[in-house]
Amino acid sequence: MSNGGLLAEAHRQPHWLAPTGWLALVAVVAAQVTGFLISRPDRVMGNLQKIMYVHVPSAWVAMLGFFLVFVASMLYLWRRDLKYDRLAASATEVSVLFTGLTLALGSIWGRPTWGIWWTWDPRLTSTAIMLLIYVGYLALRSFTEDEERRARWSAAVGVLGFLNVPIVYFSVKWWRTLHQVQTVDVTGTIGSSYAISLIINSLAFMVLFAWLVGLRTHVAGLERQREAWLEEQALTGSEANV
Amino acid sequence: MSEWFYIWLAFGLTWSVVGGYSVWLIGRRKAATAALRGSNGGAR
Repeated sequence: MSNGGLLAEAHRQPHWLAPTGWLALVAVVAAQVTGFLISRPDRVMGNLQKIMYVHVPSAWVAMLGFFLVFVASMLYLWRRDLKYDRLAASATEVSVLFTGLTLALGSIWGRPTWGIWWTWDPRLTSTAIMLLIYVGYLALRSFTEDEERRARWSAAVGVLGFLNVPIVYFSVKWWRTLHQVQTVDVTGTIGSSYAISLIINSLAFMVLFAWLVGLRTHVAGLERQREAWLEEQALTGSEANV
Repeated sequence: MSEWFYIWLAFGLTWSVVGGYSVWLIGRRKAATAALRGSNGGAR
């Protein structure tokens, strides 16, 4: 394919991206209105339970995102196709954002409920470690200019880093301390109306997450095409000077 | 402090961060697309 053809192709964003963006907007607004305005105060937590409609979906999409990083990293190691590296890096960036939010929102909820902003509870600590691992993943990518090496190193961290994610998930069962157990558990720890609101909000956050990762991956592809073009120009220029 | 302070703080923080990131991404896509079109002599 000619360079012009490659560039023209790169301009096009995936067909599903724009509709997903609009769907995310509508779904998130509808779900948040349901959680924020319609849900009744909890018997114990009062209105503070509304924070769960942003805290819990953020945590769920972050963990789902790190699973996507794991899958994309495995696919890169298997296929050695840089599109999987771009997908893994994009999913990491978005998941780091949601993990940071999860910790901040948990802290905001913890202050009036537990009386503290932070404690070294296993769930909180393992989540903070998860955040550090993936911030490290993003930092690692700036250490080398070599695309293949960067992708290989990142994929290794993307696969190994995922080992911590089940620890985060099961930490509330393995070490019962301050943090409550999984909010929507098979044993049912919360009322069904709250569970439904939480699930609706989580689904809306998943659509939002899909759009953000799709857009981030598309931007990474565009920037890669631009770099390739610049490299080609530099090469053509140096050949012409010989 | 009132419980509503924490609730507004939580929702305000969430949508400022997510909204800010979305706007930044859209801007970055716009810049990347413009740079690429410039490179390609305006091809679409």
